[in-house]
Amino acid sequence: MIFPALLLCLWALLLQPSGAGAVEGGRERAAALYREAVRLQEEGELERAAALLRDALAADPDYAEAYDRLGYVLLGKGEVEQALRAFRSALEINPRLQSARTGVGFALYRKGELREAEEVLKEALVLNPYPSMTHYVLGLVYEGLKDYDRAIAHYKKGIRKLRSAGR
Amino acid sequence: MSGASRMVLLQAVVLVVSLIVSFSYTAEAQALLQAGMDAPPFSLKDIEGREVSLSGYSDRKAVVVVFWSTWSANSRKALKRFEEFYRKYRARGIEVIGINADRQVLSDKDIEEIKGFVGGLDITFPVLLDRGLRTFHSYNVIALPSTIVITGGKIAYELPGFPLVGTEEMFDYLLVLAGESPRRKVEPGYRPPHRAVADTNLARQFMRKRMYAMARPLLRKAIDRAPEYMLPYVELARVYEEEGRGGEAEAVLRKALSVKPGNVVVMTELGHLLSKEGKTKEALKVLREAVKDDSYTPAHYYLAYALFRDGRMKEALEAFERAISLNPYDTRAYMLRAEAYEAAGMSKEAAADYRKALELLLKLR
Repeated sequence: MIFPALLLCLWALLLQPSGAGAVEGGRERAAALYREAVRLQEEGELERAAALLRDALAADPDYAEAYDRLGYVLLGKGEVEQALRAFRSALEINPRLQSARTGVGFALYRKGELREAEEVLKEALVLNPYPSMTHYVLGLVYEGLKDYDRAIAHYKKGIRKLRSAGR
Repeated sequence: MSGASRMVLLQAVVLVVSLIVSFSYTAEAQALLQAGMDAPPFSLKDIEGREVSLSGYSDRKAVVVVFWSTWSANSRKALKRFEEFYRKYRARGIEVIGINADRQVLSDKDIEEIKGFVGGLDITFPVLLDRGLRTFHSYNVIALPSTIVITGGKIAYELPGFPLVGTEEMFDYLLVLAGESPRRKVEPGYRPPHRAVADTNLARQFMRKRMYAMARPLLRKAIDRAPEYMLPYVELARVYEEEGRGGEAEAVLRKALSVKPGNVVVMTELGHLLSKEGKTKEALKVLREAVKDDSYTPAHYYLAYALFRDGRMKEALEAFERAISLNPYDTRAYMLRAEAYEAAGMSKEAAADYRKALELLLKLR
């Protein structure tokens, strides 16, 4: 009884370094692809950025930030439903990723579901280390609802947060 | 010498002196703050997709970098004029590079439009695409078009806009660099000593970290070393303002203006400071002087803000429009206009401008 268990442990130990190495290699490759995709996205090359992010996700399927970034790239391309799916995938992997929650709110805003977007975005402000984008999308939602005073308040908060972060 | 000859000679002397004086005055008014600083390196793709780097032109006597856009009226004039100059003087070691700043994010359609625009003007110098506007921001461009002349890796001359007088002076300067005789006497441009530039740069780093006590002595030292170098005065005034010492900020700017009375940047800073201190009439006087050369964007939006504070909303909105048409990437113009709209109870318009400002800061536009 003990013997097979020991054999199993030994087998697992022997396999672990190369397995971990492969995972690590995949993550490194995914991270490099992600960085290049960010650069391309900033330069407006959305097609190529989306392709690289999909490659990054193939190399590391648990890469929540890559799903999140892919969501924003797809939003930029006007593919709202696909973007929503990407943001939700990111949140399944990391429910604390407030950028992806903001993305869900942004996608709902783009679909014209303003009240639903408002609810999600309010949640996205909680424990959010980079809330300026969330304030921005909330501003858009309130502009859409013709509540200009609230829109102004959120835009101002977004600007203040960025300024205090030195940008 | 006969009386008539003496009179002719005297007239000639008066003419030459007046030309030199007029050149010096307007050159000072045009000269901004970056002369003497290292030119930020860049490597961008041209409209055909080839990589072009500033470092690739280090063997040239001068590199003229022209920031332009298809939507600014004067860019067309500037590109045509530089093409003419390039064809004539390229062989004399003067390179011209056009950097397009149409938008932060360029679509394929935008690029086709830019290509069409460049093709229509028969431009032969390299035209680069500044995707993300990183180079635009690294050169602190404040109006489109804007021209920066680089010699020996340093910024030697800068001209925001394409104003009538300033432009001819810049081409005179370029003719001298190309080894030609200028059409009139050109005095060498002011170059601050290296130590003053280094102290100012270090002080600016401290300022970014809000370490004002460290920045102050460096800026004072830079002023002592180079009293004609305007940047440390402007930065020292900003430090004082951050510390709530408005009176000292004003004194520093007035001292700078006593050294260079026509400096448009110092006038603008002083005008805005006076406006914030509630000295609106005086602010308006200084800012109206600063907008005369019509190329320094902040002068326009600070004038607009002072006009708003003076209750002249219609004129204020016109001045804001002018500022935004010169440089639509300046967050401050939208912020100040939003503030004016908000105070006037125009919430919809205020929201739209705060949104634009935040979009620029988030680099979404």
